[in-house]
Amino acid sequence: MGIVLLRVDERLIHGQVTIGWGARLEPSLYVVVDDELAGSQWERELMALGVPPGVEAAFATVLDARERLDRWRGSDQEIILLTRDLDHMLRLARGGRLRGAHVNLGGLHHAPGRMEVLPYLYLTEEDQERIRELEREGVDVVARDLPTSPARSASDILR
Amino acid sequence: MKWRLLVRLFFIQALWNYRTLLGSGLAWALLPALRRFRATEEDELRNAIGRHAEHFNAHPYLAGFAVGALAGMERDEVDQEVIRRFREVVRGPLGSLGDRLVWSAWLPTCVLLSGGLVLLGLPPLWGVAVFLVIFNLLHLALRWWGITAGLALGKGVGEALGRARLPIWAERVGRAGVLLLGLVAGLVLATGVRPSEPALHVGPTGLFVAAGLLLFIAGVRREQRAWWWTPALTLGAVTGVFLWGILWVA
Repeated sequence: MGIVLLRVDERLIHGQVTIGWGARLEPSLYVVVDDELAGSQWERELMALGVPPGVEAAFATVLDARERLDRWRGSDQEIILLTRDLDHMLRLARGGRLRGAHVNLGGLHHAPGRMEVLPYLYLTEEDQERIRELEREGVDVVARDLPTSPARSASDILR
Repeated sequence: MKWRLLVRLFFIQALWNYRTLLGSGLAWALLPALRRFRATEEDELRNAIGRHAEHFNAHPYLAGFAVGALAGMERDEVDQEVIRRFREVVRGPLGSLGDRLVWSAWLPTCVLLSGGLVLLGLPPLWGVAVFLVIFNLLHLALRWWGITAGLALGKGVGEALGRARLPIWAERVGRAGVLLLGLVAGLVLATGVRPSEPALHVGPTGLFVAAGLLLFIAGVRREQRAWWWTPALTLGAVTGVFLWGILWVA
């Protein structure tokens, strides 16, 4: 009930999330928290195509999401909340808004300036700092691409 | 332009590689459009090819939506940043939609349909022909529709795709496939096991029901929400056994 998964994945709604995590958690709503997507109708339309039938997709800016967070948590829907990068997740978590929650790190792939941490996780220096910030905001950061793969804690990633 | 893009779309997987997946093929498929709209300077064309050769992925049949839309956006001189974001957003949906519709619903259903017809007495070569025709009707339609809609709608192509409600059709085709599976399973047993004594029918029938049950359990475990596996497979099984009986008497 409520938010069953908070995940950082640059691909947002895609197979690994809808099949890998979706089959396990059976969400009825995907919430994408992304300032750019929330303001762009054609991008929302494309992204919503990846949602399985009978499941909804909602889009919100970080500002909106912070306001609606409590409603989502108390909802009787199972919700998966996605952001495309650590920056969005950190801004969502500011002020202890996600205290006590787990944040799952999934797909952040190779790009210039990022270093390989795990095969599915490439981080910049700033990203590593954002993970520390998230932990300071009371969030438990865990890297795990699929429910069947081993979970790696923040201290493990930031060695 | 449309025809040249369409022909090249068939070779989009020819440059498949682990680094860019369909990226290189996408750039090659777009080449006629880039030459026409981006070839004012040698460098500009080269840069455009480089941008489009970056990592990209999609279902090959649905990649036409990307090729058409990208060509349309280059034609309309859409901002490069918007084009980059379109490439990024579109690959996920085009992949998962295509996998669900083509690989896991349409292909097995077409195989079962043509195989079933052969079991019912259609000459095997005719069975192959039926499969090729039916399967490729959708395949070619998807490629054609993708290029056409993409060129016409550009980045708004998602709206056309959404209106077609492909996920729902994938599910419907999948259900039809399950029915056919029950039917074909019955036919396979009917033609493969021909006991000389009518009393021996009990054995194969039991075998058939057990196989259906196993398939059903596997189906339920894979997709808990799919409650229709029960009636669908049962109906398929009954039809199969019924046909088996008819064939036997005949």
